[in-house]
Amino acid sequence: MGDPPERSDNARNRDEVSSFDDLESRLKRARNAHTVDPHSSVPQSGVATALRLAAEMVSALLVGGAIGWFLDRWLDTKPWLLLVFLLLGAIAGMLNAYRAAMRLSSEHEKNSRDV
Amino acid sequence: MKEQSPLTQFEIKRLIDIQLGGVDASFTNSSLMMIFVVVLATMLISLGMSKRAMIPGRWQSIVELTYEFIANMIRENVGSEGRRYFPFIFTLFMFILFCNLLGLVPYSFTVTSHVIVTFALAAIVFIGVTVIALISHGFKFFTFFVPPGLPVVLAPLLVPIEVISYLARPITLSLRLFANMMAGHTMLKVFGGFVVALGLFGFAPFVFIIAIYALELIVAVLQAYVFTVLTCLYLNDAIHLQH
Repeated sequence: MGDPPERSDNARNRDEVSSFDDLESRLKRARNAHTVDPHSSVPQSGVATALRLAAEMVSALLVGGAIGWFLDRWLDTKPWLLLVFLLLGAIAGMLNAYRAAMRLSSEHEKNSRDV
Repeated sequence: MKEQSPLTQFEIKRLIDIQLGGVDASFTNSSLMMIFVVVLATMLISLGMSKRAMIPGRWQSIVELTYEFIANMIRENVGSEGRRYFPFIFTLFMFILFCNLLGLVPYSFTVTSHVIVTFALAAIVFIGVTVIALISHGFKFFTFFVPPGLPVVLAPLLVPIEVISYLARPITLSLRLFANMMAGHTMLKVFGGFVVALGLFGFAPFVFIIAIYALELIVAVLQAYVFTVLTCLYLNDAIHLQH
């Protein structure tokens, strides 16, 4: 007579324990999922990457040109400083694009290793 | 049907004329949209969190997910020192995200399709990050422009390059957001013109518009994300002084 309720109690206990275990493991999995790089959640399309690198190159060139132009106007050395700083801007642009590309490719590597 | 240029959507219209000491500080459709964005974002967060339920409802979930998204972004890209700047970065993200998304509502105005708006945002980030670096590192900050192991002979060439590449940051930041938003909205309007011009056959570009619209939604979120992630990376450079 006292057997069935006890058994059901045990069963419920076991159930609770197992569901608690389940919760723990699910929590762990969720936490692990959270520590993965956030970049992996946002896929970068080819166009987005290209636009990013292009913006990187163009903006440094613009900055170099602007610096050269203003220095020329200030020092009255037209057009030499503009030429020099345009060249420096182009190099800086390539350097920035290179750095951005390296960062992207290292992220990509990390993501593919995780998977 | 009056022909309209696809660029008229970017026109700034004065709603209330305000002159402040010779400076044109008029209240425009752009300003109206920005106020709308701020009010809506604030409402979403304060109303979404008003219940403070243990088990969040839909709205509270949205707010909590956004919060965790930004918090994780800062932790991954800046580290624990970046937590202090969470309010600013969260605000920046919400503002850009809402500007981009509300700009996609028909007859509204896309604030972020104007380069001066995105440049102002980027300039705030750039100046703020530079000031943080100067405060936390003092003169050591300038070693940022000298790559380690640099031969003295090459310094006059490489230091200006590094300086230019540093100064290019706000331009890159603003250019990318602005170009993406403007290109997308112009494309939508151009295809909208096709729908009208082709009459019965307009259904083909109309289907295409739906696809572009979906793409624009992704771009709107992605560009807000990219802007904030780059802000985090620049902040990381400023705090840890490394490329």
